[in-house]
Amino acid sequence: MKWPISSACESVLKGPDTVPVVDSQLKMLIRLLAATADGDKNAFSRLYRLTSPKLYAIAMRILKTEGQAQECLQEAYLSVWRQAATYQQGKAAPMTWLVTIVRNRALDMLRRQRHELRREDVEVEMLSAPPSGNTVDRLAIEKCMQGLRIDQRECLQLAYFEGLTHPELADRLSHPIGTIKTWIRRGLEQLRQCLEA
Amino acid sequence: MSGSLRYQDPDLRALLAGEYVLGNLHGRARQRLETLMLEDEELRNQVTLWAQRLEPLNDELEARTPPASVWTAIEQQIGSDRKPIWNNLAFWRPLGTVAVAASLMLALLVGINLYQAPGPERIAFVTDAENQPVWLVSATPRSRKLHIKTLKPMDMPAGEVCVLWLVWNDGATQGVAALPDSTGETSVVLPRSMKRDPNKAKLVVTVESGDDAVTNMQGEVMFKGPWVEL
Repeated sequence: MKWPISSACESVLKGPDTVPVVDSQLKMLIRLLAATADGDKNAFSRLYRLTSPKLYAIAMRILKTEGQAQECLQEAYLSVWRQAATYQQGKAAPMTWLVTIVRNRALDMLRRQRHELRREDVEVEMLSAPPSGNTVDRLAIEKCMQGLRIDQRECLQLAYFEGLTHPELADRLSHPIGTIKTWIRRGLEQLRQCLEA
Repeated sequence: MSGSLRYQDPDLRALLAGEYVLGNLHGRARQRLETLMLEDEELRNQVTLWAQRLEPLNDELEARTPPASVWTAIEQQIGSDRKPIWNNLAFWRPLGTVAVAASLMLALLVGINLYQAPGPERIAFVTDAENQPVWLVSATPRSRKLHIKTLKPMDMPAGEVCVLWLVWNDGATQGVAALPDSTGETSVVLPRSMKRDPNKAKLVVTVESGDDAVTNMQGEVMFKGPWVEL
């Protein structure tokens, strides 16, 4: 199933025939974020309705339990409401900004469970001054992921979707930590080269 | 190779940025990278690029509508938010060593001599959404005096003021002063009746209105963070 907004992030690489639709969705998200920054609760409500199914799925994937995922979603959208003004159009796609907020919140919750210090609002710092938009589409990353060795791919997916540490990955995949680190390093490098090709 | 030189290696920077977004950079390694990101725009760019590269992976997940209770809880929480202020101000960053680095950097940027005798022993910055310092709060050693300097005029809504508070871990609060919204500076002497150590409190800024703005904390918390020791 594809959620309606996911395609909004694909506008750059989707070809001219689909651009009008996805472009309008992208612009709509940008408009909603701008209105949210101005305190428009109706716009924020609409932004939530459009984007929360995807963000909830991401939170569920990382946190596993509905209660935690809902807490994460709630905190993340409160951050969005309060910090929408820090989103800079043209520097990151709206969904990238929203996904980053939810992922960081979810990963923070995981780390809290592991007794690590919580680092607040790093996503705001990170995405308040990012580079010019360089959107990657789903097909491109799927193709590049498929080009990785199975073990490298599995390592990256487990880290991204479950926030596993190196020791946890080593335990899950029954390989030494050194091997895990090598897989991740090489996997990321190959992924970067493939996506930039 | 020293730590700082290591982080100049382009391949290592790209790898660390990727691992940071991937989520498996933990503990001190993650903190070091976040510290660097504060001052290193190119590194922030790399991190954002990785966020954009990996974000489409989420498209394989099955979208699912959260229960209505989530939105109800959000709606309740935003009910009393005063958004115009959120637009103008950003969160304080309570990031320990990050705050030290950022504060000293900002002090240099705004040309403040932090070390003139008798010099503050603690400072704190309130920054706006563009990371520009709006107020500098400093505390002089062995004194009950706080110095507040306005670095950038703030356009506050009529009848509302930003108020600085000291808040201790057990929840005790002490109103300090309404922060001036025009350029200038002011000193505030903490009351002798206040027996607690101000250095052990966190600094909190709220938006208040009314005659009891500095004595009755009711408004939204805009900033909170610890002192930065010099």
